[in-house]
Amino acid sequence: MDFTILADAKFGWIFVISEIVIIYLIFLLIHRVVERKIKKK
Amino acid sequence: MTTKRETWRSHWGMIVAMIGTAIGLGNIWRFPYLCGKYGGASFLIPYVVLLFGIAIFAMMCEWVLGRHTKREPLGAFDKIKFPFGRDIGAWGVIGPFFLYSYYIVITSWVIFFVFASLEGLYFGKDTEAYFSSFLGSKWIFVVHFIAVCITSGILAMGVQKGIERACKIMIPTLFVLLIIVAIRSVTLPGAAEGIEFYMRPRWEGLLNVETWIAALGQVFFTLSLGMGAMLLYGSYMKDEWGIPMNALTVTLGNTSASILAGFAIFPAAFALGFGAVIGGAKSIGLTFFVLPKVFEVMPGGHIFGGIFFVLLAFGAISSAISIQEPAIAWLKEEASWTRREAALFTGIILWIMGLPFILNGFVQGGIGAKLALLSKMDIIIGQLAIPVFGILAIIAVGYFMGNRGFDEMNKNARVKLSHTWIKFWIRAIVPVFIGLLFMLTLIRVLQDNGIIPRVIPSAKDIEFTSIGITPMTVFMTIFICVIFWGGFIYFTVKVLTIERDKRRRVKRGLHHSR
Repeated sequence: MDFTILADAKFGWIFVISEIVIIYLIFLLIHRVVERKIKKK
Repeated sequence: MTTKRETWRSHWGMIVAMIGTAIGLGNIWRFPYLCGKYGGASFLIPYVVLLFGIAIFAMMCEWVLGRHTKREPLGAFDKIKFPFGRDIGAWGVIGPFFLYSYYIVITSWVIFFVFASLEGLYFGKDTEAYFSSFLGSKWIFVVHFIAVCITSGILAMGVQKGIERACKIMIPTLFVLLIIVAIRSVTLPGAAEGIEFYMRPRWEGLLNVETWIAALGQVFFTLSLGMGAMLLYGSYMKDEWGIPMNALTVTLGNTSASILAGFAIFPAAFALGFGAVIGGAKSIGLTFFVLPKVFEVMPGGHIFGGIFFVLLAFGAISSAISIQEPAIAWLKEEASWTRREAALFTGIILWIMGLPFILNGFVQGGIGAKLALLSKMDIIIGQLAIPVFGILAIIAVGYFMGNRGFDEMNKNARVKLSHTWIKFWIRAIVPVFIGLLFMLTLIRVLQDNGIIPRVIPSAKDIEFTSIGITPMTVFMTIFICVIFWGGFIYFTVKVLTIERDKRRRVKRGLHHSR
């Protein structure tokens, strides 16, 4: 497979920033769900 | 149902775990490199000033926040009712994930180089080309998987049986191995020039603003601040251990390792004819291109190269476990997972998150192209996000916890800090310096990527011409060694003596109760 795109500067910045934002938002969502579950208990 | 929260088993165990968090790749490759670049001992002066003036207080704030709340980063910010505390604290759990995702890739290079040194795989080859071919080989997948398994395995065993026990073995071994390599290095014929390069102050470096910026970045980076790890490790501290003296012991231990690393690298490099290369080498290059060349020509290079990379691996692993731990603590304390489930789950996620950095290594081109993604993640997480989280922890203690925070800092401390003085320092001085670090780093990143015009001039390597060992070089060598190694040995012996006395008292108490 060709991974040349990973070395591209523009793609690199977009990939890294979007990875951070998406994972952080997913974690916040999971945390809210866990909190709601604890409150229900 | 509430389960009893884990704590460090012993005072000594806590000290080595904290030192383990702090000692990592930053001490062994970054510190000597910066010392060389900014004029040897003239880098050490701002480094020491900022270490004891700023960084040690930032570390104490993270410990205070952790120990007072007895929670992981997310719970800690939430518990003190910090504005947006849950969202900010969430960064203390998830931020280290991103840091780990590339830090463990570098750790896996180190693990590979242990075997490569012992087998002499790079001997007689162009080390840069060898490193480049390794980045595009199947071995990187194998060692990356091994590295993730090691950290997850240690963490699955728990705070006392996993982290504390591993650090009790790894950290003293690291110091012993570092001393062995440093002795070998300084006893090589022609090593004096390397000592001169490292310890002779070149005053033009001290007057350079860049030197101070680099020193500020290094003191924050080297103590593993602003990534949730120190905060969490602080939450495992017992109330009976005073914070200020322990912070001083950890700081001295961490810096002692950095200084030893310089003595292990520079004298050998100069003695074996690589002095000119090492002065201008980039940090990664120093470890993976230049040092292998040094080991190749060094008598017994197989063994000393192997030992050097083993100690580097120990430092990297002890730091990596501390940056994986916040997520495990969150899953355990908030989501009621078992430690083993949490370690396995985070291990799998982190292994997947590391894959893009590894696949980047298969791109055709130079080292720069193969590390493009990794260096971008390092800029955002390692250089920009860390000061932001660090400053928030300081604001939380200085402004939101108020007197509770300063009381916690002095709780059971043998040497108590004046409330008036510490309040002023933590509320006014420390955040300003860290804010400055963040702004300067941001400006540098933006100008390096052509987004804004160049404001900070690019740093020039300070020229080195040997003039022989001068009284100033001798004075600096003795002064640095006595302050750091002497101080660290003094406090280590003190902690071990207190532990021994406590054990004796407990034994006597048990004997009487019988």
